Amino acid sequence: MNRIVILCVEDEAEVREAILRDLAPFKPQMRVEAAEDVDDARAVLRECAQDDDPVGLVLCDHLMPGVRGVDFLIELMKDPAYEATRKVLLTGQAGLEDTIRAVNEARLHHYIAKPWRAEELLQVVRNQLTEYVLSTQEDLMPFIAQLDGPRLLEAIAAGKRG
Amino acid sequence: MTGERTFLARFNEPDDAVESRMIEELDAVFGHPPRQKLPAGSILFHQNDPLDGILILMEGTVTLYQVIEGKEVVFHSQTVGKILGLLALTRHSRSFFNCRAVTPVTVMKIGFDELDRALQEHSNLLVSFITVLVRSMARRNKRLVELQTEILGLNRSLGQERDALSRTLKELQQAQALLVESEKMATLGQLAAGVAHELNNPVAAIGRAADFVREDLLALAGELPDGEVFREMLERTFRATPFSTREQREFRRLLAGELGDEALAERLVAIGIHQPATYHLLTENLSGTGEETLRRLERYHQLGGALRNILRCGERIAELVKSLRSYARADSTEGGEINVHEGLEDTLRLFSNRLRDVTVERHFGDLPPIQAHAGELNQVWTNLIANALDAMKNQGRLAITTTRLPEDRIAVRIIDSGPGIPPEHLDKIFNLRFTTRQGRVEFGLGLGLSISHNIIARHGGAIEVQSQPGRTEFCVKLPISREAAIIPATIPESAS
Amino acid sequence: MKPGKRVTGMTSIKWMGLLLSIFVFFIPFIFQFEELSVAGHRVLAIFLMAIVLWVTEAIPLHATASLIIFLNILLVSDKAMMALPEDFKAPTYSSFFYALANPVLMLFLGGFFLADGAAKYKLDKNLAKTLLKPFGTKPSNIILGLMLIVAVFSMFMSNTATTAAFMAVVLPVIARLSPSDRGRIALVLCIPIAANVGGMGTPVGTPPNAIALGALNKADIHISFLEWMMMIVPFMLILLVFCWQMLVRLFPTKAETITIEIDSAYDRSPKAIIFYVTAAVTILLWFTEPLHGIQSAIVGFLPVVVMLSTKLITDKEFHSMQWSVLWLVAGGIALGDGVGKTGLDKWLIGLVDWEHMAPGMIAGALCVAALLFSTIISNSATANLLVPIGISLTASPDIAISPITSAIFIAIGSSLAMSLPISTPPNAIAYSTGQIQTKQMALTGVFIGLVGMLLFIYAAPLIWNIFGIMPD
Repeated sequence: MNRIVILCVEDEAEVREAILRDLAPFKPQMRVEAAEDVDDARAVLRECAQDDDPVGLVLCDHLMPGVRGVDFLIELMKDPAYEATRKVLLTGQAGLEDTIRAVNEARLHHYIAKPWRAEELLQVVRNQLTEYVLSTQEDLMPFIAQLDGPRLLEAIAAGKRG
Repeated sequence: MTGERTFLARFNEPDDAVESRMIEELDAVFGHPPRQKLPAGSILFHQNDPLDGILILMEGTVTLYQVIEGKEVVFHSQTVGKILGLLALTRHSRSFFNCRAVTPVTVMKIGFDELDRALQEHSNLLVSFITVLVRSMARRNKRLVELQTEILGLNRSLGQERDALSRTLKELQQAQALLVESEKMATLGQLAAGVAHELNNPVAAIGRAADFVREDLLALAGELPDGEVFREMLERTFRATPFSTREQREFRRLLAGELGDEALAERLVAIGIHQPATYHLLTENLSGTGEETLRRLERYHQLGGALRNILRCGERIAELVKSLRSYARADSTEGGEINVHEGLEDTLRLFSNRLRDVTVERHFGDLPPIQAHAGELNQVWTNLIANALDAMKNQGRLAITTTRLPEDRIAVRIIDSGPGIPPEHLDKIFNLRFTTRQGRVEFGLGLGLSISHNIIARHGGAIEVQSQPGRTEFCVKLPISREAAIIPATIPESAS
Repeated sequence: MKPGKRVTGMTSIKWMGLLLSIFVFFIPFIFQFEELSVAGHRVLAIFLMAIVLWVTEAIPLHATASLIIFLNILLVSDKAMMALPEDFKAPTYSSFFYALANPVLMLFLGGFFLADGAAKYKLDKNLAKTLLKPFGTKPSNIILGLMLIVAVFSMFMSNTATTAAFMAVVLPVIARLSPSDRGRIALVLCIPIAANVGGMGTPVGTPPNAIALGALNKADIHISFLEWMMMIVPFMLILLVFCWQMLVRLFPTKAETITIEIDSAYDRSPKAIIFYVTAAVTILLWFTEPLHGIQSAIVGFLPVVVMLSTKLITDKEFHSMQWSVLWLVAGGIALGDGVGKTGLDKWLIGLVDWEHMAPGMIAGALCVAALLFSTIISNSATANLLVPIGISLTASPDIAISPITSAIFIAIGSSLAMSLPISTPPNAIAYSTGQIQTKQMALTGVFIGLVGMLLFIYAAPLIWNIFGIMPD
C-alpha cells in the first residue's frame, strides 16, 4: 500500500521535533518524513520516489542554511512530479519579497507564521491534504476519517450520483 | 545774450553755465517772474497731480519719489536737474513723481502756455531750454541704467543667500535625523534592556522547572513497575544528541532490514533505538504486549525529548537575553573601561538569525580594556556588521580582526566578502549627505555609517574603508585611554 | 513517479483471481457433463469465469460484464467462432448486444438523470432540510427522520451517493458529540442502513432491482414501477422502523438535543423549475402506470430527453455518469439470456432434487444465498449470478414458486447484506468515517439481514396473496 508523504523541512531540531509530534495524528496512514535542510529534503524525495509514495504536502521553513525554503518550493513547482503537491511555508522569517515570490512562483498554498498553534497546523495540513487527495486520488474513502470528511463525502456523492 | 552762438556749440558748455543762461533768458522773456521760497520738507507736487506748468529749481535740492506698496522709493535726488515737472510735459500735465524739498528751496513757476509762446518767439530761449532739458533727461537715463545694475547685483546676492539658507536647512534636517536615529537607538536600547530584564526571570524559572520535572519524573520512575527502563529511556533521550534526519533514515533502513518490520523500525528509530539488541533488552524488562510496550517507550522518549528541548531552548533564550542585556545596558555606563571583544560577541549573537549562511572568522588579538562608551561602540559594531551583511546578502564570509597598535591604540577590522563599494562612492561613504537611493546608502543603514563616524570621532578614533570586489574592510582605530585621543577623525581614504 | 499518482494497483488476490478465472473457464471444455448441450458447456464456462471475476474483482465489474456479452457472442450466438451443433437454435448475436439497451437500463438511466438534476439544483439538500424540520431536535426523532429521508432519496438515487451526501451532513454533528456518546454510532450507522433498505423500494433504487426486472422482462413478465413499490415499500418501512428502534436501543444518545444544519436554499432559476417539473411528472407517471399504461422504461426516458435537450445536463455531466453501472446490469441480463437459451438452466436445476423442498424453503434458500454472496461481493454481481439461476428454477414444474418471487427475493436478499464494510459501498463509507467498528456494523447488519429475510420470506408472500398484488 503506497502512502501519501508529508515532508517537513526544518533545520532546528527542537522545532522539527515539535512539528513532527503535532503531525503524529496523521501517522501511520500517511508517511511523515523530516529533513533538516533542502539537500536532505531532496534525498527524502528520491527515497519516496523509489518507494513510489506520492508526496502530498511539503511543510517548509524558510530561513535555513544553504538553499532557502522558498527556493526549494519554487524548485518543486518546476518539477511536474510535484505539481499536485501542496506547498506550505511554516516560518517566522520570510520577508515580504520572499513571500511574494513563493506565492507567484511556487504557487504557495498556505503560509503559517511561527509560533504556530497545534490546531491551526493540523487544520491547515488536513485541508491541504484534502485538496491533494481530491485532485489525485480515485478512491477517497480511506481518507474520510482523517481528512476533511464532509468535503470528501460530497465529492464521492457527486461522483456516484448517476 | 549772444544770439549768434549755435545750438550745438552750447553742448560743450558746463551744466551750470547752460542752466544760468536759461534762467537769464527766462527772466528776460518773462520779466523776472516771482520766486517762491519753500521750507525743507514741503511737497512741491504729488504724483498724478495735474500740473499747468514747469518749476525751475533756483536753489536747494529736491527728491523725486514714488510710493510703492506703502514705501517711498526714491528715483532721483542728485539727478533731478533744474526743471521739475519734466515728465508732466509728456504725460498730459500730470506729474509722474512726488516732489519734496530736501533743503529750503527757491523755485520759479512758468505756465505751459506762456512757456510755449516764449519758446516759439525766442529761439535763444528755445535752445538753452532744450539743452537743459536734454541734459536733464540724459542724467536721469543714466540713473536708470545704474538702478538696473543695482537690481541685478541685489538679485545675485539674494540667490546666494537663499542657497546658503537651504544648505543650512538641509544640514539641520540631517542633523535632526541623526539625532532622532541616535535617540531611537537609545530608546530601543532602554526598551531592550527592560525586556531583557523582564525575560530573565521567566527564563530562569523555565529552566529550573524543567530540572524539577526531570528530578520528579526520575523519582516517580522508581515507583513504577518498569521504572528502570523508564529512567534509562528518559535519561538516554535527555542526554543524547538526537539523530540527524539523514541518520534517522539510514538507521530506519538498516533496522527494517534486520527486524523485517518497516513500521516498527520507523517507530524505534524515532525513539532513538537503532539496534535490535537495545530494543530486545528494553522490552525484556517491560511488562505488557509489544504494542503496549512500544507505546510506553514512545511516551518515555517523548517526555525526555520534551524536557531536553525545554532546557535547550531555555538556554538559548537565556543566552540571547544576556547578550541583549549587556548590549543594551552598555548605554547607561558612561565611558568606563570596556572589553571590545564582549561588545563584538554580543552584537554578533544578536545578528545570529542573519548569520546562518555566513562563516564568521574571529581573529581576536590581546586587547586591554579601553576607555569608551560601550553602548555607542556597540552601535558602531552593529552598523558595520549590518552593512557587511547587507552587502553580502547574508551569505559569505565575515572576518573580524582585532589588533593592538603602537601608541596605545587598537584596531578593529570588519571584513566582508561582498561585492565591494564602487570607487566613486568610496570617498563619500561617511558623508552625511551621501545617498544613492531614496535617502539611503545603497547597501547600508544610510545614517548608520555617518553615525558611526561621529561616534568614533567623539572617541578620538578614526574609521577607514578599503574596498574591492570580494573584500571590503572597515577599520576602526580607537585610543585605549581618553588622554591618547588627540588624533582627529580622518576622512576616509580610498583604495582599490 | 507520475504527477498525482494513484494509490492503487493489482493486489495478489486480483492476480490469483485472473488466473483462476481462466482456469475455471476451461473446466467445461475439458470435462464433459452428461445431459448438458455443447452450447450449455460454453455458457457454463462463461458463468464460472464470471463468478470468479465478480468475486475477486480482478477486473472491474463492468469489464466482466462486457466480457460476458463478448464471449456469449463468440461462443454461442449465430455468429459463434466455434461450430455449434446443427440442432441448436443459436440466438442472434444482436440479441446479446441488445442487453445494453434493455428497457430496464433506460429506466435506470432516467433515475440517473433525476439524481443528477436533484444534486445539481440541490433539491436533495433542500428537501432534506425541509423534511427534517418536523422531527425536531430529539436525537431518536432526528435519527428516524434521517432514516426516512435517506431511504426515500435512495429509492431514486444511488445508495452510495445518498449515503455520501448525508454522511457529509451528519459528520459535523457527530464531531460536536462527546467522544464517549454512543449515539454517534447510531448516527453513522443509520445512514447506510437506510440507504441499503431504501434502495429496495423502487426498480431504480439499486442495480439488483433492475437486474431482477430485466430478467423478468426477458421471461415476458412485466412489473410496473408502482407494482414493485406496492410489493416492497410497506415491508421496507417496517424494516426501517425496526432498524431505527434497534439503533436507538443499542446505541442510545447521551446528548439531549441534536441539530442538523444544512446550508442551502431552493434554486428558483428557470432551469431549476424545468427540472422540478420534469422530476415531478416523471415520478407521477411512474406511480400512475395502471392509469395510462405507459411503461416505466418509456417514462424513464422522459427526463433523459428533456434534460438533454434543455441542457439541464451538460455534456460534461453526461459523460461523467455512472455508465459502468448500466453495463454491469447489461452483463447480468446477457448472462441470464445465455443461461436460459442454452439449456444450462435446466441442467443446473437437474443437479438438485427439488421435490423434497417446500416452496418457502426454495425462496428462502435463494434469499439466503443472495444475502451471503452479496455480503462478500457486489450486490449487482450477486444478482447477476443468482437471478438467472433463480428464474430458471421456476421453469421446473416441480417447483411451485413464481419467477417474480424468485427474482425479487434475490434482489432483496442482495440488498439486505450489510454486515461488513465491504458488503456495500454505503457501508464502506460509514466505516471509512472511522467512527464505528466492524463488530458494531456486523451486529446490526446480521440482525437486519435476519429480520429482513424472515419478514420477506414469511410475511411478504402472505400479504401479497391477500391483497392480490402478485400476479401468479
